Amino acid sequence: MRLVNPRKVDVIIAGIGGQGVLLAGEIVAEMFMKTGFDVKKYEVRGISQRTGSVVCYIRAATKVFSPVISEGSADFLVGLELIDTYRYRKFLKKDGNIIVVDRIIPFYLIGDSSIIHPNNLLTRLRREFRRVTVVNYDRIDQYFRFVNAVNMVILGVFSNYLNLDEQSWQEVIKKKVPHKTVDMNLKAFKSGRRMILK
Amino acid sequence: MLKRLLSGNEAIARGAYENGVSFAAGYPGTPATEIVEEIAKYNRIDAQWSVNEKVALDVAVGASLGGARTLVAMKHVGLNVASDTLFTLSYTGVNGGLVIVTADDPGMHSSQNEQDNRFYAKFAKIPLLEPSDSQEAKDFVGLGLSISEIFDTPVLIRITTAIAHSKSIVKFNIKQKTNFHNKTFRKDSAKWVMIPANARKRRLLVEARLKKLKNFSERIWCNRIEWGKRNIGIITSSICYQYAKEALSDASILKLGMTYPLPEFLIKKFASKIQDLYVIEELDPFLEEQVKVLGIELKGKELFPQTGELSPSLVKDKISIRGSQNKVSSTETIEKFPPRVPSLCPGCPYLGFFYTLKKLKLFVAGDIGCYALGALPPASAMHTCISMGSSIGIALGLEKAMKDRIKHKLIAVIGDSTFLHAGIPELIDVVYNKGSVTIIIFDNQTIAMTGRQDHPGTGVTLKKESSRRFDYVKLIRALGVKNVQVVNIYDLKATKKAILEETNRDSVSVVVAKGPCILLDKYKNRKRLFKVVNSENCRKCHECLNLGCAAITIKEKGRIEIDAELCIGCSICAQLCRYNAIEKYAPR
Repeated sequence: MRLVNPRKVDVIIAGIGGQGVLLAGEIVAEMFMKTGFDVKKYEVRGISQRTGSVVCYIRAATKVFSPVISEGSADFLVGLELIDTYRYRKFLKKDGNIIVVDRIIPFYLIGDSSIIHPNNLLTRLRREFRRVTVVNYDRIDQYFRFVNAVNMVILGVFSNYLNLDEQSWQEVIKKKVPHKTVDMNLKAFKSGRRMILK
Repeated sequence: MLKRLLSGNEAIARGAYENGVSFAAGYPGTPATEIVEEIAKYNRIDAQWSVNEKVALDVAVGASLGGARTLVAMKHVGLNVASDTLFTLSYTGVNGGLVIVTADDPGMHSSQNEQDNRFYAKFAKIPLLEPSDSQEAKDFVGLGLSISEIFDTPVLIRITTAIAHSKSIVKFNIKQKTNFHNKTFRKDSAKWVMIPANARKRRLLVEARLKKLKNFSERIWCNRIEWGKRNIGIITSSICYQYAKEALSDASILKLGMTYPLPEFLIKKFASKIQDLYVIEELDPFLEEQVKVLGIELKGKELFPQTGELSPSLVKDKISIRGSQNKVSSTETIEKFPPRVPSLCPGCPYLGFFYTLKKLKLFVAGDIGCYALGALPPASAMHTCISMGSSIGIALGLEKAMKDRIKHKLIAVIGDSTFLHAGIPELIDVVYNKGSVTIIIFDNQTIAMTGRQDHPGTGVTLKKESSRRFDYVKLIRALGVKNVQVVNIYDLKATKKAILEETNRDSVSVVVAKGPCILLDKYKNRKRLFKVVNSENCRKCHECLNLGCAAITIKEKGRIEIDAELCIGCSICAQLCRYNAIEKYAPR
């Protein structure tokens, strides 16, 4: 197996508590381990359990020192929620890839609220970065939304950007998700991997 | 060789297993919680949640005296609670190796303060180890246990959030010896009974031990020099070592794994060959001050902040390899994008409670736990939060100072585990000193904030064995509180009635408000009949928004929408809606 960039890959996954950001990060880290690279992973969770900001850094290279990714150096920014993806954009390098769901989980707002609109945020992201892939939330199967498997769908979309075979992804997902939910998660992953995006 | 991607906490647990730890204890607290939780997964190790950190350390001391290799873990503020034992434990020393892990939280991701617990090692005169990744986290447990047994001392291992919660590759020692024998137990009053006559003798041994440890730190493998270019030299430890390696790949580095007592000769030797010397450390200038005392010139806190976490980019900005300082750090530019204010989970039992408190306009002395989020908008219904258990004492003090001006307008709120941790003595104080405080105990059947751990009130141990379930009402009555009520916290009307009744009394009273945490496994799989807004009935009064439930949002033209992915169907919003606009809905 080989990664896109043979020397290093830095990935940031951003979202909200309860969306499965950490699980998605766990799976990506495990995939990178399989390539024989040194891997570090770091997660920052706020004090809120559900609905709090969560971000996960995964780094793979011949030797990784800091678990934290420096600003302007991540290769991928994977977002399960639009506001918090926008928040972490400064970590992405200029020619980095954004893969994001156009979904907004609102919060009790202090300050200017005009910015918090999907179109507004997407326009801003596209202005700053060339490679922005948007997954339309409404296009994700209602069932996957209801069972909180949006993370696996997006992971499926993201998997197309890495040169890692599908079977390995499936093996790692099987290992990492709760036993009862294996089938559902694999289906969600597959639907993302097969999703055709404009 | 077996390799795994482990967090620092998981690695410490693995270290305990590989090095023959047979007893572990602690109290949950971010970012330390997973240490004892992971240790409990090893069948060979007896592990427990104690009721608080001091009790955990006391039990650990007993286990060590009994000959067991022992580990005790807690968050930084937990060590404050355990410190009473710690300072004298330094005098008695140990029998079986005893390692105390403190997990500090620079940046206060989930803590009430940012204290630098390295000072506890210096203060209590015990050795200090600081791992810089998961491999070291595992290895330093073994090293710590050996130091503990060789030098007859408790050993402090200090990690930070970035070590505890970051994962890196750990090599397992599969050929580990499995036949660890406990040390022989023997009575030794001169060593273990710290009455002044004995303590004075032990006191001298502590100083002698420090001298020996100082020599030891000069040649221990975890203190090493990595020579690079000699124009820039870095003295560092913990996660800052990783930041320095990443930002300044050419620099020479003195990497300290044992940071108290410090290796003076090694530091002097390093400094003498370096042109510009820097100390990189998070929080207080713990290393910097000690190195400066040696008469060595260096730069440290004049470049780096004493608050929050450092980062590779910050290190790069402050120390350029050309030796000049340039650029303003980009992390210092404040982003105007609105922050995501932390909030209680959708369907949390506390949501309705704080809504009621806001309506009643009470002064609320709060405590440590998820419910501290009740201090944030829209409820903004908590007015103090300082340390575990302090809500009750603070409420009593307010009453003493303000008397009739605050009487009947004051309550203390405290979680179930927080009450057991430190609230009971405070409640006794209210009874004894004739206070009339009303105390609400939130019984959500778990330690929710740290990820749902069991405690005496759940009747299940860390090893998932059933135990005696603590009875709040019986205890509270036994303490001398006559007025005790139990209410269902999801019932808004009943809860409001109970609060009004009890706050209007002239004597101390307690309300046990029951409502399980919605994230508990046993409630997770209940049928999710979530709520939707009936647009015909909705008058757009937006009262439901005052709940602060993240599932309820305002859309275009003031339309209210309930998010299907977030709503758990708790019904609190339906109870407060005057127009019956919120209805049940079952998808498919």
